[in-house]
Amino acid sequence: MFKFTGLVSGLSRILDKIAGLCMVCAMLLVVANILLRALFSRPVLGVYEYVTFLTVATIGLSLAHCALQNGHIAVSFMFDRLPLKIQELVDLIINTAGLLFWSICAWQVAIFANSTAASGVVSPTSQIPLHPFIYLAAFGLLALGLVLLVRTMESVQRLLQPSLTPLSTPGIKAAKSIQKAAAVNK
Amino acid sequence: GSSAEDNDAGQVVELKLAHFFPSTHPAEEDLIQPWADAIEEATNGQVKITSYPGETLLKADQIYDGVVSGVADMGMSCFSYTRGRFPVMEAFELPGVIYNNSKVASTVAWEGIKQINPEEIQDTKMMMALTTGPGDLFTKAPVRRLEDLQGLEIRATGLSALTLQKLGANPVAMPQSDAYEALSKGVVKGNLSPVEVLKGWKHAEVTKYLTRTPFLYNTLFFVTMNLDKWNSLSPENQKAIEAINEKYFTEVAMGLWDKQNEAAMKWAVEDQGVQEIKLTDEEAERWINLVQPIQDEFVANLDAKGLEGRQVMDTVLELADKYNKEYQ
Amino acid sequence: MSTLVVGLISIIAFFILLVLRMPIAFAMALVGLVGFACLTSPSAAFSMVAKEIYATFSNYSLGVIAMFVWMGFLAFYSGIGTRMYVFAYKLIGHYPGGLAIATQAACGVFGAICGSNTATAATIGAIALPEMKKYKYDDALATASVAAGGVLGVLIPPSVIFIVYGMATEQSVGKLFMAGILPGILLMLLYMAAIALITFRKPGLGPAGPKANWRERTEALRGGLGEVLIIFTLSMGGLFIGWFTPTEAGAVGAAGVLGVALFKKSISWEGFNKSLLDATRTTAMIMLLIAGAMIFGRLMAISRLPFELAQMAGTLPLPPFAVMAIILFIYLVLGCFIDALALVLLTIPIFYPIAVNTLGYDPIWFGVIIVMTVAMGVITPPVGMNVYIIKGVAPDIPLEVIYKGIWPFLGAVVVCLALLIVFPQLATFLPRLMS
Ligand code: NA
Ligand code: NA
Repeated sequence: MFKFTGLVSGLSRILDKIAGLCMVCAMLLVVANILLRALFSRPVLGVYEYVTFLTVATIGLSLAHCALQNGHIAVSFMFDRLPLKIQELVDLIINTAGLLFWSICAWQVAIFANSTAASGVVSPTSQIPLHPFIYLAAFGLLALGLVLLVRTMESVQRLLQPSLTPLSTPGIKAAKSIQKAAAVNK
Repeated sequence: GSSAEDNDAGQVVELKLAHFFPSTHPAEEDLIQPWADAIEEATNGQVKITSYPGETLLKADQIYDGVVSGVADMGMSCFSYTRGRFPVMEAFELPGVIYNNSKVASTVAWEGIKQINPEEIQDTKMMMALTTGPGDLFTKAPVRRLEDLQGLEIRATGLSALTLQKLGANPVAMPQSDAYEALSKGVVKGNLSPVEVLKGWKHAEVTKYLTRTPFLYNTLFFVTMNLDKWNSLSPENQKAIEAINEKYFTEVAMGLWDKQNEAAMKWAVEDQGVQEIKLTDEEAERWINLVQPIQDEFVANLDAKGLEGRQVMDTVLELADKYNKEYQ
Repeated sequence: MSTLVVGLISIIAFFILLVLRMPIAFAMALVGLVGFACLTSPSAAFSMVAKEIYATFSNYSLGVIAMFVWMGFLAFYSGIGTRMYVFAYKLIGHYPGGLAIATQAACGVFGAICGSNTATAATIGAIALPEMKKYKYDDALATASVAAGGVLGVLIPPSVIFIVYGMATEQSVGKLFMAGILPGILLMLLYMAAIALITFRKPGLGPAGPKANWRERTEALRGGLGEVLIIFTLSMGGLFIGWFTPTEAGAVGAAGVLGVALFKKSISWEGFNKSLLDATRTTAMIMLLIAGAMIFGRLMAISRLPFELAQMAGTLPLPPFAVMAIILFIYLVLGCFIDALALVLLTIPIFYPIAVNTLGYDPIWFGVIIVMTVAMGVITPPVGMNVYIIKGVAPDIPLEVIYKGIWPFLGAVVVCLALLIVFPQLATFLPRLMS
């Protein structure tokens, strides 16, 4: 269990690093193209398609890490007043539903990628095949599903061993990097 | 479950049609709406079509697939938005083929599709095909000769970008939604599009000249239907719909862009002071020679896929020749 | 079952899932999927959801949000944002709420570069929220003022929503942009007035600092504002001269901030990494939210709920201003559930002909009114995209705290709308000057 949790969080961290790298590349590409166009009148054709592909990678690969940090926000104020046992039970149901939903989405996006590969769709200008990037999005959703699997397992554990850990509400546990960094900056 | 028997019993088949044109666009007001009404009437109210314009149901590049998978029952969009999926259809958009107007280009496409009947569109039931007809170059500085075009940044995507590259221009690919701002600030110095765009996207506000190039550009639209839905209709209803399709193709669809282009041209010249430039025959000849290789590449590409490239190309050229004489 | 009933049940189901603490993006996508499956078929619904997710991730215009968000975090981690706020604090920090007022000015100025309300809220939020916290500003006031300020991003040109409106109605985008300037400035001033009023009544919400003398101010100016001016001049000037398009401005801004930070050696490798980490997290959250909103929007379209509401309003036997009031009310209600961009796409095809052709309102004026009304929607509960964005940037502040602070700003938008209705010239004056 702990091993699996560690594996999933490690994976999502690595994916997030790649996502960040893609964002840097997109920025450099846009700026390089502007310079080439404005100074040398030699823009790279289809740059906006490359940027689009990099954006897909950025978003797809950061989904899991975002979920790991409870970054996908939820409304919590009405629910906090219910008894803890009920909260835990509903949490389990919601996490399971999320797990099922995003796993199915990953699978469906992969099917979409399959059919795109079969029909040979390419980007209009640079004529790069689209399906690798759709697979990438599917992979990102799958990683998101893994994080939700961890969350579901945690819910089950809490329900079975109520004394183990107090329930974490979304947001409280979330990354407080801003505040930490604010302290660093002072 | 709406089988043919159900329909004979008078059950109504409701169909959702997805397209990307704004709800005030002639494609919706003059074509889709009256055509849908005519189908409802011809099938005694058994086939009812509801239109979802402006990408409210499906995005432009998802429409064909959306019809195949049943998100919508019918759809209208461009083949070229999913480049690579319809290799044969590119034949109708190739540069170097002269089209006098959209009537010619649309008739060539619709007749050509029926003659060639390519494998790539067998997964839906084609209702009709229509085109924008030739596109023109609208620019901030006048383009009278090939030399004026050298190194000039022109917005174009897909096949048109290749066309402009062959002519020595500097194509810049960006979405049409970015083009107005880009033209206005001079990020690009021109656009290659149907004249309609001058008014529809207000490009006449940000360009000054229009060079007529009836051999550089064409965009092909389809109106198509989910195959299962089509097969579920009774033979009588199918026949009635096909009759309506042909009627609306000839009376509305094939000339739809000509009407818009004329109105846009009038507005651009009279209200916005856009100046029209016509190339001399010798000059046009130079341009056509430069883009000719794209046709050869197209043929080679189809041949490599095991499709009859030369035959497809010849069909297009023959039909263009024939209908250029018919619709001057 | 009628499609309308499915639409209504879906909205209720969405609410229930929200209360049960399901993440908002999940809830919208899940309800969208199930509802769509009810009205078409499961296979069609799955295909719709898969394509919509990829379409959102691969949307070029939305992709710029990532760049702007990163720019904001770069400015924060390099301390550029801090130095900017030190200057603002020295300048007007001795008035209660001074920093929140300065933040509105920052939103307005940033709105001239960025065309999206979400990106404006995220970028300014990343810079401003930690600073206001440092100076002991109330959480509700600080977060709500940035969430509301993000709206200036779409009112002051360039603007994504004006482009979408112009496209759907074939109106001049240039004229729409001109029309947005005065109402944008007016709204900014009204926000400032609202902040002044709140902090006048409860000075503890935005505590006043010591008054700085002019020597301290010029020092702070040299320390911070210089680099901001360089970046801003570069972005604005480049846009104006035509070096790049508004969609490219985000990347230029990020490059500019990074360049200045590297030149002044004010960002560490760790800070750079953190800026990336925060930017990818915020972007993933925003994009999944937009994908969810798009999927939910498809369900709304196919349920025909918005269309039927519109049709109903258009056929009421009432004077034009009353019909217009009903239209705005419907927008306000729908805006509570549907994202601004999706709402404009969905409803303009129906409301535009009613407002312009039937009632005879000016199309440019109507565009400004619509943008302002849907912009109101992005800060109203339960679906307020800007509020979610702020929550994403400041994860430790509960959503209800942000919503609590929103009311005065909502009041400011209502006053602005009322002024626009009474004095339509506010929107139509500049575009008329143009032609
Ligand atoms: Na803006
Ligand atoms: Na709202």
